[in-house]
Amino acid sequence: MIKKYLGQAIHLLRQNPLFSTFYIVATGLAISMVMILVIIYYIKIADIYPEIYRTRMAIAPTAHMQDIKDHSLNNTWRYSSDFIRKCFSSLKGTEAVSAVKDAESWLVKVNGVKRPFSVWVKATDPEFWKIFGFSFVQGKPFTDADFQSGMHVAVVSEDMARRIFGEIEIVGRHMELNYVDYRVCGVVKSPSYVTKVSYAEVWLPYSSIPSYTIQGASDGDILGPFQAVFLLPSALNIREVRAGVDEYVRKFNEQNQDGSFLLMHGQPYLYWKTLFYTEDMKDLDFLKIFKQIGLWLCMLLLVPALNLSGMISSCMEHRLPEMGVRKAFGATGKQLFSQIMWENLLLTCFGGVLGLLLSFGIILFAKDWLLTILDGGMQSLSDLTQMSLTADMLFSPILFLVTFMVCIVLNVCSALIPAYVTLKKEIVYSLNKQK
Amino acid sequence: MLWNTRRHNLWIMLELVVITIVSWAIIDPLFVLKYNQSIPGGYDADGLYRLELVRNLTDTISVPLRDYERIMEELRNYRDIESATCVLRGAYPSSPGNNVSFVYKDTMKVPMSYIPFFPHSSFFQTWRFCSAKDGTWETLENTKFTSGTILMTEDAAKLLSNNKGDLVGKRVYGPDSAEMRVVGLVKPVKMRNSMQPYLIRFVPWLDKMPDWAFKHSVRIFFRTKSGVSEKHFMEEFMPWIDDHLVSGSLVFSKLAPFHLVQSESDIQEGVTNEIRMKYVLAYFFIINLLLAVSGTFWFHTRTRREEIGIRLSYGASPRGIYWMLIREAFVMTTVAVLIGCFLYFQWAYFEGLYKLNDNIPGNDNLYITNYFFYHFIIVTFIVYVLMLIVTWLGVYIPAHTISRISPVEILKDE
Repeated sequence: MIKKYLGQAIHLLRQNPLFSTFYIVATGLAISMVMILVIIYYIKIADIYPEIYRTRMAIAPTAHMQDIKDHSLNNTWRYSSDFIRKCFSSLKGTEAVSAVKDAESWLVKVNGVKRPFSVWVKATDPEFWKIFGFSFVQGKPFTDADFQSGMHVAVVSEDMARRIFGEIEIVGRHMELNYVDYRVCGVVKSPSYVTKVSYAEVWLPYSSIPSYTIQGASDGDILGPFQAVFLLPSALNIREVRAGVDEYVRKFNEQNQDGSFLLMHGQPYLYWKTLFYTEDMKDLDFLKIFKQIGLWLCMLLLVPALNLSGMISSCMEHRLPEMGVRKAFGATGKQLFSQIMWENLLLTCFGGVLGLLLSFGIILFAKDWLLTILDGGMQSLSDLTQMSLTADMLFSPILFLVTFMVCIVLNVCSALIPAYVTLKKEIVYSLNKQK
Repeated sequence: MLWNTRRHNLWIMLELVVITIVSWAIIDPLFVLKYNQSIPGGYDADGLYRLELVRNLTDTISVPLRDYERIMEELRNYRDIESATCVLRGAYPSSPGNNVSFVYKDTMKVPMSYIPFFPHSSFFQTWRFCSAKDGTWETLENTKFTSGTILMTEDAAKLLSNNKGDLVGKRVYGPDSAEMRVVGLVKPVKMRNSMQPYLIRFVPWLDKMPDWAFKHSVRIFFRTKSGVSEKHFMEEFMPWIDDHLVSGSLVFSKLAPFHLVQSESDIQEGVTNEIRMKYVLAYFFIINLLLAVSGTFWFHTRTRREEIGIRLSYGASPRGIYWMLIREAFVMTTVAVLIGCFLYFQWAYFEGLYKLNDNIPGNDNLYITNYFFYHFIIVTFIVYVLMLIVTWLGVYIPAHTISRISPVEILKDE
């Protein structure tokens, strides 16, 4: 029966090319917008090189210190390396904990070139390499011994190796970063900027930079330039970790009665939650976040659904005589309703395929700014920053499944009411519509 | 006529109402941001450049202050450079970060940003901050500064003096009750390209460059001479940097024309992403509206062929038929916009209209976007005009096509 409906749908498609074109284009447009949003969030959440353990990663991004006596006096920044070591590194329920500084622009000098150029440098510790799955094409990461001794060693991305040295076999060679000599100990496959937590072009042990290891930048040894990144055995361990953090902070605040106390606001958060983290001094309000996203998704689907409903309604007016004749010959409302829904689903699926291809095209064409469009305020990127996309980011079964689900939702939203209204009409009325 | 065909027009009306509401939510931020960007910055960004130098810690022999003075002299003597100055504490328009403190006069307490500067160092010449009295930078450059004197922006003075604006020569009080005397007023200055002007006090630094200023990086601003193109200047200046700024205690880090510094600031504030997002959504909803209106009117004109044929046979002109259909579309759009704006008003009245940042130290009374009524009316007008244009585009082809068909042909078919 369904084959018959689909056959009839294809026939109708050929009979009304203009209507079909409008319908497919409108559907494609709606689905492309929704899929662009879905793809952007998917790229930010899914396990993608080198952040291949995102599903079991957690992050504590910022520290909030509030004056005990005057609550209007607040300080926010990230954590000091000292606090991360004392509070987070010793927690039960973690596989690894790393202190990671935001990437910043440093100067690198190349032999034979007078003027230095900028590279993105990230200062971190040896645990970083356990949390992120970087592929080393040459050498290996800096070790615990390198870190403890404050050795000036660096890991470099493949692209940066070629830019600085012209080749990738550079382990053991030296370069000047901010006019300080560093030895290259490893070269990794270049990551994309879309994996922001781990992205850089050069990675160094933060112990090689004296100012980063000063005990306590301010506010009782808590505030500093690092965020804490955790690797957990599974996402379920987050509760145990959070309980451990809360206990440590409670004891810390009890001892620190004449200064500021630390507010964690539910940190550390699972990786996906940090996408919605915008305010340093407030708890994550998921209800508000989902309301906002839900509202925009509704608009992105509601407006095309109204559009398509209008078109279907007009089309159904022309098919009233057909419905009348078929009812007169014994077709039930359920059968006719099912036919209309299947016919529209076929058109919606054509629109869905068009929409998905359009969304891929738009993302590939505009990836330099589109992939960071939901990030709000961010660092200005140089022209050489890699915003590369790989096949696994776009061609994923989850994305195809989501596309299909969106098609179904759109189909139901747009065809339900016009079909119901049309089929409610009596046979005599429907037949009288024929001229 | 429209009331008689209300059933046919129900979907398109619903869509017009929903798109009106959504357009409001999209156009409001765009209007506010574009309006803010159109407010004069209070300085001249054309021909202005930012040069960043970093401290070379491996050079323990050179004295940073001497290197700094040497570099400044060389810059001022460079053939294409008109003037050069330095900023302290990273406080300049489009800088990352903020500093705000309260200034008091009588019962007035006003939050202000603070820009320190070196007097008679071509600071006002380079930036082109102008005097509120005669609109020239020379007046400010030639002003005599002593300890405890400050300049203030005109809008700050208005607020502090309760709109009398006559603060020159008067005393005000800063943090910790520090007494300050206002020796001049400056035209309003925007610290962020997409925000309204901040209230600012310019504080003269009467000592030489302090040692802490050389700890990390030094930011020098310079202005090229009139008629020097950016491309030409960059091509010629970069080799000069290779010879003069790659050794010593202060070495080259970055050079950028100021319009790029402003773009960086917009990116950091989230303005660029906000504008991009709103444009993407605007195009999406406009195209949807176009398809909806075109599709619906195409069907309607097919249904009304007999009526159009009779009208044409009774003497109606094709132009008349065309305008009849356009008028119907415009009436529907007008009704939908009125309903949509009324619904949006209910929400906006309680939540407020769009503001980029609530916490800026500014004078809200000076700009139209801060007055709810005017703001609402202007955005409503923009939404209405946009909807009319899109509707006209959507109806044009079906209306034009049906108005050109021969009445004989239509009536023969019917």
